[in-house]
Amino acid sequence: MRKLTVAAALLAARSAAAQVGTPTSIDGFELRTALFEQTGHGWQSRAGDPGQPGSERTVIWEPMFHLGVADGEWTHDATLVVDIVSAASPDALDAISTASAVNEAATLDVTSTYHAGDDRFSVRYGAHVEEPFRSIFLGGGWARDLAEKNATIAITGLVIGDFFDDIDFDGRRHDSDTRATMTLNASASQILSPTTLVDASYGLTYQRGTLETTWNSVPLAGGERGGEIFPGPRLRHALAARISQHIPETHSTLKASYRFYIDNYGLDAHTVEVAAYQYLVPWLYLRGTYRYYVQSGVDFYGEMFLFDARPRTSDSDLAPFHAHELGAKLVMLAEQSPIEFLRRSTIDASFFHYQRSNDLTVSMFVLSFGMRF
Amino acid sequence: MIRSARVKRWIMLFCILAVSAGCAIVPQTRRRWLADPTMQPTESSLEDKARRKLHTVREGAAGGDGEPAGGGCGCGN
Repeated sequence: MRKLTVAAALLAARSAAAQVGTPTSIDGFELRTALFEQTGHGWQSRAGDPGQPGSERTVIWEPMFHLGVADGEWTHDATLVVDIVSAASPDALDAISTASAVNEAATLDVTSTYHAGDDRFSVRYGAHVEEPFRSIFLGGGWARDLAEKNATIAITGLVIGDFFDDIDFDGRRHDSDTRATMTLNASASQILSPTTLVDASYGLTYQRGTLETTWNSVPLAGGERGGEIFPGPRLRHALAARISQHIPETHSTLKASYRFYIDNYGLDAHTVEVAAYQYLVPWLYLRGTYRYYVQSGVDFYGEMFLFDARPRTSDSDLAPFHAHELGAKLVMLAEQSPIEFLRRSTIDASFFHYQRSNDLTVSMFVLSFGMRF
Repeated sequence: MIRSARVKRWIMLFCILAVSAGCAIVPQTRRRWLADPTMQPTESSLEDKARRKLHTVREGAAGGDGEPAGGGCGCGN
């Protein structure tokens, strides 16, 4: 599987290079590796004592690769993300499902953009492969610069098809299931001053098919367990706005953003994020971030249900909770480095700590090396 | 009803922002600070993907940033 996805990434880059009559060049590449470590408990997991929330312990190692190619009026961006996952919740079903203790997944995501003056037209395509899950996606977009590139508006659309085995909460494998997701996004950005930029976006997503996580369980009265049952198609709205302000006197940047989300499952959410950047020397800056998130939970969340209750879920991700996330990142812009080889590169290291109010903690470590040509 | 009114207010705010595009003109020669790496909307597409994945998988809300809300991964959130 990994060989296939790597081959597909190379093919995408090669097809970009095969455009006739125009010079082709590699714009840049980036290698990134992330490690997620999650601990916590949720009622949907069976990894633990009966009658108690099960373990949600997960460790994910995620190598990522990005390649940018320029080819005349075209640019191509290919991203390959590999996940190597060890998770307690699905592993608790191993005895029946024979799922492996470590699962691998890969996503190839390619965007090809045609630049025509102030307009840009793009097509996006790719696939996600994972045991026992397949996903393909296809979409397009249009962006236009206005008022001497002081403003940009953009519209994108994407259709995703998911195909997966129906593995129930006891680990039994049933028929194959499908899920379809259609999304439409509109965004706008505007320069307000030589140091101020604002942007906003609206996203509409419609999903139908099997939206449940089929192996999630729900505690039932009498000590038994049942499967999740969702109410049907899901319509989701998300609005986001951000302001970015540079302060030349201190060579600092401040960003603040707010996002509002609402859907027909009764879940609404608010996200506030602030980020502060400070240059320590002209080629090294530090970024600190704080993110606060609060969600109401879906209307049909509960920790115990009657046998015939529907819809129902005990997934802690859909419960009411709030979360804090703190992050720090150190970025070296090597353009001014005394070492010639490093002058086109960027090296960064970051750490995020995510803490949810309903017993879930995630720590993420990221290392990255990138180069521009 | 309250939710619907709230959504309408946000849509109006978005439309005002979109229509106001082009009101302020900052010439290219005065955009030095806007070109700073810290002012870019996306510092790293890979970093954005990694963080978005954490939030999409562990929270019930996603979308609104040019990316789909759910789908394409093994989670039903």
